[in-house]
Amino acid sequence: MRRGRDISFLAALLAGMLAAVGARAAEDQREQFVVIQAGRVITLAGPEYTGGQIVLVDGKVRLVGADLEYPASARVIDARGEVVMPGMIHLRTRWDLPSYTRSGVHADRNAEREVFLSEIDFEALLRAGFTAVCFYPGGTGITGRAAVYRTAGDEKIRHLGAAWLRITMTSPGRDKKVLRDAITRARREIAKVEKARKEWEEKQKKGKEEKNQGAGEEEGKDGQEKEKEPGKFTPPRIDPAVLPLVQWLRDKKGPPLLFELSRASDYRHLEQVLAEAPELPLELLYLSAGSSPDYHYVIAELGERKATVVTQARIGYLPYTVTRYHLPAELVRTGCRLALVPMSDSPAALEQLRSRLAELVRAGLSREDALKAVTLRPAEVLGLAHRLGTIEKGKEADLVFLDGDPLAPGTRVYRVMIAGRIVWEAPEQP
Amino acid sequence: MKRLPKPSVFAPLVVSAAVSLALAAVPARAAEPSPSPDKKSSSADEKKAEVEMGDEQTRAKEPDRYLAVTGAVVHTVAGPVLNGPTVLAKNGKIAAIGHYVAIPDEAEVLDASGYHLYPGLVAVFSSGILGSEPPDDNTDLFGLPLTLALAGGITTALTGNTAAKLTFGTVEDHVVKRKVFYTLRYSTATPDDRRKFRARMDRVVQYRRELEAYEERKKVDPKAKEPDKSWLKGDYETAWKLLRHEITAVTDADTASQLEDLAQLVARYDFPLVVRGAYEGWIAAPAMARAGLRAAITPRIRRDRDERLNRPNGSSIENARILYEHGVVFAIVPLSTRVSTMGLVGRDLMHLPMEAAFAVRGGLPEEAAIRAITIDAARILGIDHRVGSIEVGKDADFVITDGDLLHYMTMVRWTVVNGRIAYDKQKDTLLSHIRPEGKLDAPPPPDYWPRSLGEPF
Repeated sequence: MRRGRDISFLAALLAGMLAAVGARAAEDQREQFVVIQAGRVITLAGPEYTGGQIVLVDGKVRLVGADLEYPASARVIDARGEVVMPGMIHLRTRWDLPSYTRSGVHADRNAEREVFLSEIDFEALLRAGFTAVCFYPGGTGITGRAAVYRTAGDEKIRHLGAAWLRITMTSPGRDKKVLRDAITRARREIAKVEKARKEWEEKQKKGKEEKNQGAGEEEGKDGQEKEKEPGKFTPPRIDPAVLPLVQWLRDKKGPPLLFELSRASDYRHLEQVLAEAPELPLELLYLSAGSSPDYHYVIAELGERKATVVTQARIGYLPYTVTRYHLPAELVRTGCRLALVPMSDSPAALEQLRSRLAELVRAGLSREDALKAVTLRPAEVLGLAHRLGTIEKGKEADLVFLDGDPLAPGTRVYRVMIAGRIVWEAPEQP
Repeated sequence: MKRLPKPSVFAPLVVSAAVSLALAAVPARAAEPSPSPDKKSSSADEKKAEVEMGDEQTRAKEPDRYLAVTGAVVHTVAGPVLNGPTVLAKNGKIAAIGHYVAIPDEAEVLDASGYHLYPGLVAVFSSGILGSEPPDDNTDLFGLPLTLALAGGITTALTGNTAAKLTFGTVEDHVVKRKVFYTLRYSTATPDDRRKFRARMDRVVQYRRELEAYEERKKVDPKAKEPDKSWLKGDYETAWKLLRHEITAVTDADTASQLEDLAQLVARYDFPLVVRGAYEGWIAAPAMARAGLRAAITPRIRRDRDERLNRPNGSSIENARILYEHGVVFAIVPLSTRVSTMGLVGRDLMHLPMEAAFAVRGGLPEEAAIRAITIDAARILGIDHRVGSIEVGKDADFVITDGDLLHYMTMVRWTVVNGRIAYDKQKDTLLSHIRPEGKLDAPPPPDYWPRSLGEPF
């Protein structure tokens, strides 16, 4: 009996150990299924679900909806009192980066060189509900490419790649010259490559002729030589400072170009320069909106272009009047795609962004456009729309948990999830 | 010697009372008269040429742009005052003027019955309206100073050293002429500058003699040696251009002695010279007229007479009249060559006609006063082939007012630049509340303050 008990004890122990191993494996399996039980889910890709669930597998959204079935083993994040929306993406910032002034043509620069993640304090960005930020290279002229980072999470997944190439036209007297200079240089580079190719082709022709002449005599040798020379043209090195422009001018594709304007007149000056190089796309613009922007003069043309316009979330006045001018709403009305950024790089401005959006909505911008302007549109601009921007099947789970409607006053961010993991929680829970 | 016609002699009448559209005769868009200075490399030139070609092509594709102004009293300046003809602009140039001009269907028609139409005003000096050099890169095309200047009737202004149009909202056909003036330093305070300038002029006069002698010699001796011109660069080249009337010199001079001194200089070397200021022009007018000096005057300037000087001196309200009667070509500029909402009202570029009107008070005929802010000002800038009068083939720059241009109550209703309406008083928040539609007894708009044109546009 005793022995039996011992044996059974041993067996139980063994079974227990096995079970533990199995359970660990099962737990791993279960870890992959994470279910967020949310009070409300703002997907921005279809309906909003009240009392909805988001099923995550491997940090990606598997399913969104209400009354979903999910494995009992799934880990459940209870957010029944919270509203879940896609993480906001800050499309244009120099958050915590030292100011940098340079001018001229520097398309080879990249904001990545300035970003050292350990040195940047992402706390305020997370608190404001941003899951990704796009750092831009400072200065004027063609300053280089912006770089996108997640605000938290594993080192491996934080860098989301290079983004748009920044070209300023905020002071046309200075910037037109720079852009024209860059275009001239890019054209010169193209001509250089063409010339080299022609020379190479002629050389090849000559070589062939010579070979044909001497073909009878040294056939074997020729064959060997052919193998040594694969007959491939190696183009001369293109000046990296103008490479993106070369790509656009020659291949009609390249990194997106973001043109920065400070007033309507700059658009005219930019148009004039781009008329000389119609291959460069005037599709993405940053309109720096002061308190009295005068973009109403050119907004119809921006709409005709179906341009994507990044601007600050604010309502200004028509110049020298007290007539309020809702630039974001007008941009949407004329057919532009709208992306919004906070007024400045201060923590207060980040915090204010949602209430600014609420103000824009109250004054005529649709709620959907306002929310998309800080989530989906930035993702589209950054070429990350297949990964981020909405809560949809297949997209990565960069989410923000709020204690109420994102546009309601007083709503705060409670939690931030990046790639399926909660990376930040408000210090004071409700 | 090149002499400019006196202002009293009107240029021959070129106004065509076209019965039908005689548009084929309209000259093509004139290229910029002088090549731009900043294009040095040949590749840049080629590129520019390409671009211009491209422009021509796109223009060829684009439909013609017409603007017809009907019913206005047209002050042509180049000729008579016409009562109610149609002025038709095609692609920014005046295509036809007449009572029986057929208006194309696609034309924008401006019914200006009851209004007066003048050529756009020309400001021979300005600052702050257009951007700094080069204005086609720096101008704020939707800016307030630009709008204010247009509300003052100005369509062309000199900024820096470039004459440019006040093209509201477009950079097309912005620059009229680059490198307008050469700034002459010839003051008694800097005798070295005087000496050097005269030495340079003497040298180029000498060279001209040598060149003429060479031309003569070449007729008999084909092997004749051309005079050396390796030294002809820099300041000498400028002096040569002055001598050949290719560029115009400008300098500040106010007192009779300065003016007579300059008149002497010009009489000696014969080069085009514009003097700014010239408030004692009424004393030096005979010498100025003999030498062909031109002037940019400010009739409302005041300099008290100095009793200690045993000669006439100081400013005179009759300055403009006396200069005019002696045949001196002059432009009128206000005291402040900028537009501003500060300072003394009525003494800036928004009130250019008021400055001219003050000259009329001093005895200047009204037509001459209008000429001094249109065609004569254009002539001083060397752009009178394009702006300054209402003539077929010239640029369609109009200022359409609700009364006589020189009357103090008159306001600009429309300003047209290059055939485009650049300013419309009723569509601008600025002055729309003052006498809307020209009616003196019209009540102010209900939302008197804050001023608004209703819904944002």
